This record gives sequence, C-alpha cells and structure tokens, in this order.
Amino acid sequence: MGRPFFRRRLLLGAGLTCSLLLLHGGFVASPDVHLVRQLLVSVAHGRLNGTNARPANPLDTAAMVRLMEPGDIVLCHNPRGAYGYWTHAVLYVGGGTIIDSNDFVRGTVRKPLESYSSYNEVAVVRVKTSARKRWQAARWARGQVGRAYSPFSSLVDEHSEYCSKLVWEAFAKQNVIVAPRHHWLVPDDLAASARVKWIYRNPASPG
Amino acid sequence: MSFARQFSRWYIVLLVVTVVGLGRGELQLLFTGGWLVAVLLLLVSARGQQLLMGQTRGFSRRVLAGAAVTQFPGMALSGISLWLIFHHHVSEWINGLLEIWTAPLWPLWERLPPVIVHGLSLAYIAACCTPWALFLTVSGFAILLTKVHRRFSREG
Repeated sequence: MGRPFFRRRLLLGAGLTCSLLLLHGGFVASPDVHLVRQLLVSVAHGRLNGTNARPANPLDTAAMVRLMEPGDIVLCHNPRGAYGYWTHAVLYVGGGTIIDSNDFVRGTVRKPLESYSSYNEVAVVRVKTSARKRWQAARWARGQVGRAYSPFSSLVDEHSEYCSKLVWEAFAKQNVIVAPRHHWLVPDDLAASARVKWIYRNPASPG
Repeated sequence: MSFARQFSRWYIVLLVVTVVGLGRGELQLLFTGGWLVAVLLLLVSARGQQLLMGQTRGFSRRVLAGAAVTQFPGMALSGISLWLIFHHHVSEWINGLLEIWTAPLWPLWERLPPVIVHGLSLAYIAACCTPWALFLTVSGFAILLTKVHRRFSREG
C-alpha cells in the first residue's frame, strides 16, 4: 500500500528537481558544475578539512598595512582548501582591519589583519578603479557586519554573504564588475580578473 | 506507514529539492511552504483515518514522537554546534551539516536583521532553533487537531 505512494512521491521529487535544474538555465554547462566537481574531488583527496597548514614565514602585517588602501582585496591560500589556489578573499577597510564573511556562527565580521597569518600565502590586489570607488566599496562592506553567511547564496541574493561574494558585491554596488557574474564566485575568479593589479604577495612568488 | 517514516521521507525530499534550488530563495520558500501545508494535510488525514478505525487515543503522542524522531538529526547538530561554541571549539563540518539540514528555512533566516548576539549571528541562532521550531509546529498542530476533533465529537 505504502510503496506505490512512496514511488509516486519519489517521482514527484525527481520531477521537481529536474524542473529546478531547468529553471537554473544553463546550469549544466556553467562553471558551477566545474566547481562542484573540483570540490568533490578535493574532498575525496582529504582536503577541505577546515584546517590550515602553518606557514614557514609569518605574515608581515606592518609592511602590508603600509602598502594597503581601503578597498584592497586580500587573497589567502590554504593548501588544504578545495576550490582553487586562493581559498579565501577578504576586503581591507583601513586601520589594519578587514571585513570577512566566512563564518556561519558569527556571520560577516570585522577582524584584524593578523588573523590571516595562519595562511600559507597571502596576497593583496587592488581593483583598477578610482580611489574614491574603492573607499566607497570599503564603506559598503563595513555596513555588512553581522549579515548572515551562506556559501550557497547566489550573487543576486542580497540577504547573505560569503567571502568572494562580499568582495565582488562591494565593488558591484559602485558599478565596478571585478569578475564575470555567474552563480558562485570563488577567490580564484577575483585573482584572475583583468581588473585587478597585484600589490603584495607573501611569500613572494618565484619569478 | 507510520507518521514518523512519512514525515522523514518528506523532509528528505524537501532537503533534496531545496539544495538543488540553492541560491533561489523565493523558490525555496515556496517549496518549504508547500511542504508545511502538505504535512498539515497529512496530519488531518491521519487523524481522520484513526477516527474511522475507531481509535480515539494516542494520536498526539504518536505525532510528537514522529516529529521528534524526524527532527532528531537537526536537534543533535544544533546541540553539538552550540556545545562546541560554548567550549571554545568550532567544527566546520557540524556547522555545514546544520546549515544543510536547516536549508529549507534559511531564505527566511537570512532576511533577519544583521545583528550579533553574544558573538552569534541572529541567522545562526534561528538556524539552531529550526529543528525545534519544526517539531513544535507539527506537534502543536497535532494537539490542536485532537482538541478540535474532541470538541466537535462532544458537541455532535
């Protein structure tokens, strides 16, 4: 008696899933599928375990602060990450502090730059736009402190943030599109953008 | 089929549909709303069937047990997550699983004001309350249904 009903519900569920996939429009061919595949492969290889490998050379935050301006993007590399070389992106807002959206428990927070010394490599990139727009992006980011963190939220969803989305959105609000708009954005998308110039890299990349 | 099993399967179907629809908050909320209505209709029909079979007692208790069993993973995840936080630990895996378990109602929680209470975001607190809220909603409706039926049968 129960089985045909369950099968019918399963069919209904499958139907709804297919409809959603169709609604996603072009989802199958998008970079999102590549990202999901990359994530699954990395998890299978034991990465994405939430830990950082300790760096050999500690972060010289004083030197970084001297070079940085509000609105600069800080990229972080953790070899145990699962979705690209750069595994985290945050926005520098001045005063040695950054805005970070990487925590389900606390949401979007303001932290000191020193918090990133556990990463193996840290880089600073600057968006090629006016200093005024970068400053406005930093100001917008400061206003997001406390906002919910959701790594599953799309770029069009303005109710929650995740690391690269917060950075991307801060500039998008100033009509500066740092990286092409697609469903999910990763720090590598920001690093690969032609709209950024490299300011600092620790440790300095060979060559 | 017991209410607990039906409720569990429906919740798993809702989770799959919600996870596929990630990033489309309005659509997710529509599915969650539809799911809640379907569960309430299931309760009404289960109560009706029970009365037809001449059983007048034990409905609320069964629903309460069923709802508790179904939402137990979420309750356990929220409990472990909070316990770890109060003991100065954070488990990304536990929090990630909790986020997936509460994904059906996340579009609602992310609309809460960006407030941090004792170091915890309001959305996280709401996510921790989700399994308990679902348990209380379903149980409350079952109790209400039983009371309404009893009252009507007494009047009839």
